[in-house]
Amino acid sequence: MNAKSIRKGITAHGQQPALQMAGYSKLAALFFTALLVAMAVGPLVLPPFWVYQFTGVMAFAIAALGLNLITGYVGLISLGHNAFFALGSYVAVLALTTLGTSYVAAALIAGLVSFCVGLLAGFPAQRLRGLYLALITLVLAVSVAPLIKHFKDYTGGAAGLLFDPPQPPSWFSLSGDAWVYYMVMAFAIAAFVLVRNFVGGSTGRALAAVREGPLAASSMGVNVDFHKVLIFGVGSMLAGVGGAMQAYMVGFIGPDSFTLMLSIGFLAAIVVGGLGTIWGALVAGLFLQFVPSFASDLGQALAGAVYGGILIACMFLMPNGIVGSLIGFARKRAEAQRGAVAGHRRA
Amino acid sequence: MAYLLQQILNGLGDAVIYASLGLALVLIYRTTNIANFAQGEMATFSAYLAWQATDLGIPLGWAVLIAMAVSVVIGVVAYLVIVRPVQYKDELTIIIVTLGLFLAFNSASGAIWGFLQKAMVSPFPDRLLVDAGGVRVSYELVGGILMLLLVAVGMFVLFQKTRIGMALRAAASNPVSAKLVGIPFIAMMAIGWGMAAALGALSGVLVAPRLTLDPNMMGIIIVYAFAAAVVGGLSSYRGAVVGGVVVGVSQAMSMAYLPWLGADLQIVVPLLLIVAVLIVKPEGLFGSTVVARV
Amino acid sequence: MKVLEISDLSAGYGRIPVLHGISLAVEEGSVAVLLGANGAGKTTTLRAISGMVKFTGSIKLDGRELGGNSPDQIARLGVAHGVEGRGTFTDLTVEENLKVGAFRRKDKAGILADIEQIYALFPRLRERYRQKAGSLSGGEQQMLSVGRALMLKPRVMLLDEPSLGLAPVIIDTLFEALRRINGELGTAMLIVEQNANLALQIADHAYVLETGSIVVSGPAAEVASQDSVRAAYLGN
Repeated sequence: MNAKSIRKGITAHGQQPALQMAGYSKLAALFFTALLVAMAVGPLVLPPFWVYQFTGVMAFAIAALGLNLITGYVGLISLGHNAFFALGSYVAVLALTTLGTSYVAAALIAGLVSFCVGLLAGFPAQRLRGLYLALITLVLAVSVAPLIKHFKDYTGGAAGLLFDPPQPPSWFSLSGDAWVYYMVMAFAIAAFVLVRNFVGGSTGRALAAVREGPLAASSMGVNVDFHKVLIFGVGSMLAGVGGAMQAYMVGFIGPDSFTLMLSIGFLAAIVVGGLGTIWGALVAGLFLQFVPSFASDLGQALAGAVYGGILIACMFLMPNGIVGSLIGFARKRAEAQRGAVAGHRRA
Repeated sequence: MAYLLQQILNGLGDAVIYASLGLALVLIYRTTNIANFAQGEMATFSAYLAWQATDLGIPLGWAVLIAMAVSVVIGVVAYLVIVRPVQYKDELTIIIVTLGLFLAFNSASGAIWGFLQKAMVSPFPDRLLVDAGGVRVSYELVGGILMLLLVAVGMFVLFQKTRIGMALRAAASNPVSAKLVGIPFIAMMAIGWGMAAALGALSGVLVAPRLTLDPNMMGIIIVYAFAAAVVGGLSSYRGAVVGGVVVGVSQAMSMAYLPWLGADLQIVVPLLLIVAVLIVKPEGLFGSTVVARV
Repeated sequence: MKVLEISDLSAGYGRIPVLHGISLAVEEGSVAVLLGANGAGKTTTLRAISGMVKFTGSIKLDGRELGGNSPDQIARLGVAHGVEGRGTFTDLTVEENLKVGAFRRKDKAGILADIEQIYALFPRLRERYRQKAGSLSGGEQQMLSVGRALMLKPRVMLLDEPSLGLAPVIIDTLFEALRRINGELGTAMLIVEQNANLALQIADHAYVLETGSIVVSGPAAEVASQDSVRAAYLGN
């Protein structure tokens, strides 16, 4: 089963790291099962501070997964991910406070709205080459805080919005933080499964073709424009859900959380995690939760230096990111073991 | 009528800043085919260098020149060490590296000089040149425009009348042929980055007195500078200047005539213009659809 | 006295080998012609000489090994390469194209004199000296490419398919000019051509390249008279 999956994975996607688990050895599968168990058991054994931190990791991971789809997998450069993260946060909180929906429903609404707006954002992506798309998304990123402040009647403006985080039901014996943790974890697992199925099938192959080059893709019968718009929608949806999750965790949202720095942070995080890999998003989540606070411990200036240094160092030393490099390493080992031509490079 | 004129003049004051940084962006794009997101932060760093020189007692004029000279070195080094190794890789890699430079310079400014704002003295006297009929023209505005003109003329002379300028144009026009006539290609690109850094320094020195000097000074301005450059498709100097005027004046106009937008949205208006340009004519108003770089 | 001497040259792109150990030479002041079909490896040969492609084997200019040098270094040593498709600087004017060809030279008077000489050879260029090179016709751009190569005062001029895409009348003018350049200035040339007829007329020595190996080599007249060559390349 392993050999067949690897061969299928490689011939379908050529050289690039494939967004599928098929290329992993049994060891990796074991590792991830252990990880899942650890995640499930976490709140039972960890002190509340860490439960809170890991909730943040998962929330960021969901959003990072979205950007990884857009930028890592299809190669569309988006500097505006913070906008959808913010959109999700505000829509969810507003749904809660003004419509009185449940927390889960509010998160789903946030996802839906982000999806639709993301589709809109995807339209320019059809016509613009990478750099110009980056510039437009840069404009988007910079516009978020002013827009939030402008519509202060709805958003609370610069002061932000305070609200009640989700409260556990009576039968739940652990803390409120743990309840939020499990809620976010449920969404995270759902997101990962969704994406995995999304990119494992024919849609995934179509997306890979779009990344390789629009001409090749359309000659293969892939509707490039449709897929670009679609991926923006899906990626933005994930950002929105992630934003909602993070809002739940904190109980407060304000424009200062959604600056350009956040977008750059997302980009840095998925680069370090590994572009075009699912598990890279998890590493990205870890990065986004822990690095900024670690860096600001060093000093305000050094935070930027750490980000910047990591970005540059990564592109030089580890362009495939942590997970990408691991996948590459595992694949080479599998090739060597087999010794066969199955893993040969593209012609 | 006087009010309208005044708004235009105010807009021109900003336009000069956007245009000068935009020129630097175009220069780097033409020589190395890279959009340098870090240009603004490098300019801030240069402005700090100038401030530091004045703080040591050096007169402003010399301080600016020193800052420009050091900036050239910084630009060359940044190109050779950080950019060149990744120059021919995919767009995402290049963008990420320039963002990394953005962060590095931003934090370097903060690390060396702190995050408190510093006052920077303007090269121009803080007086009005004209104050008649409701229209006020400051020395600063005129001085800024003159400086921009000087830069434009200087660049023209350099590119059109000097041997090295011709070599730079040749290298940008056809890298392969440039190598085949013996032009040291890497040196040309490094020079391009050095020159752009000097241009950025000039821009920074113009901005600092208006906005007060702090590490995040150029944060939004780089976006406007890109907007200005994009009017020319990133490869036309004229386009960058015209774009600067469009962005600056439209910003002033929206502040004056669309107050209902509110201070926050007014920031966004000129950007929306540019988004519109990009969507309608991606190669810029002044750009051409030719695939090869102009 | 060989100005260019190639021994056992092998080169390729990535894993794809194109040339399999070829040898050829260009005598001082002579014209050598490299014939062959598309994909035979003619362009690769020129690229190896001018340093654009890595190779194994030996390429010597006036006895000096060229291998390992970068293209701009090799240009400075005296190799002028007129690439396939002209390679003109489309944004520079005609005169600037010529001037930039002399980039490494310091003798201002000499440069101006040479420009005059090229205008004498190609009067059309003089007419258009202030026009952007990109607006010139194919034939004029080819003349400009040759002119620019001359400005280098090269030891050897490499020309890649100079007749490509040009009308027959223009081609005649061009090759006449090449003949003059070789005759009056004594510039050695290595010309790659698919148009064998024309090339053999001005050549002193000819080589035929087929799928990366030299299959025929000898004085141009002899090569032109060989039946196999006539059948394959000369259309009779």
